[in-house]
Amino acid sequence: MNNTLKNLKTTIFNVIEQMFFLLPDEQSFEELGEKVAGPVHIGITGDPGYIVSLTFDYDLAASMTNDLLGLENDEPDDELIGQSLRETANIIGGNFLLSFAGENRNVTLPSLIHEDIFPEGKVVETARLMIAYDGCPMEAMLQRIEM
Amino acid sequence: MAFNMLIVDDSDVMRKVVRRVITLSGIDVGSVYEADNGESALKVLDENWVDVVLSDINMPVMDGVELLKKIKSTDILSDIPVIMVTTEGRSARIEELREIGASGYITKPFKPEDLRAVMCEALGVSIDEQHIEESEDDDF
Repeated sequence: MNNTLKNLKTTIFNVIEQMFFLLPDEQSFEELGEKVAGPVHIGITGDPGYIVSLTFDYDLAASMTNDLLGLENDEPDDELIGQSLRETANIIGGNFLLSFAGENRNVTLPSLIHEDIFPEGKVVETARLMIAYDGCPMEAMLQRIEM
Repeated sequence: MAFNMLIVDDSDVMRKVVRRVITLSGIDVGSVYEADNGESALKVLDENWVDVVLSDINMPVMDGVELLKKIKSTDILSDIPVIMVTTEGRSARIEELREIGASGYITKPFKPEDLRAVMCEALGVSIDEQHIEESEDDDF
């Protein structure tokens, strides 16, 4: 699981940098703040499968949404933020899949509902990453799933 | 010449992003149609002239691979270039899509110039470099 988590971290760093020109802060947070967006979940099929769950500080999510859509200083609504986070998760999931080279796996559709990903799956291990961008935290949770 | 395009993606945000990136790419754009899955894309193609299709793969109802197969097996549609816009960058997957008939493939996240290059190749055109806007902040 350690290597898988390391690969997920690298994937998140790369995708967020390429999509939003954001580099991770040197200092992170222990916990998310009160106002968050997400979590949004995406699965990597296979046995074991994996679920990646991403939760963002609300201001970070709003800023990412504006950047993604080329909006300037607008306040995107929750629906728009949810959609952009699902797309971000989709891209992170697709890129994370590359780290399972040679394995017959795919990504699921992203969802805001954890149970939608693998309804029959059982969580057997959970690991967590805290990352910060522009002083705003995000959390990435990686779960190993027995099918 | 302005090109009519069809963007197929189940994400409204992603369709907006692709539309925006196309605008930034410098390609002369005519009508831009949108569909949220392969089935609705086929309806758009049934009613409109489209020069190029940009399609996601991972979609509900009818995914992008099925859409590609339908287009390539329908006489009146089979000449339309289909570019797959997706997160799946595995070489085996790319080869598989080429074999089915995809004209191009672009992996998210991408830059406007990446999309432009793939679209120009698929459409068999070259576009004056001056048409490309500076887009350092518009990597996607």
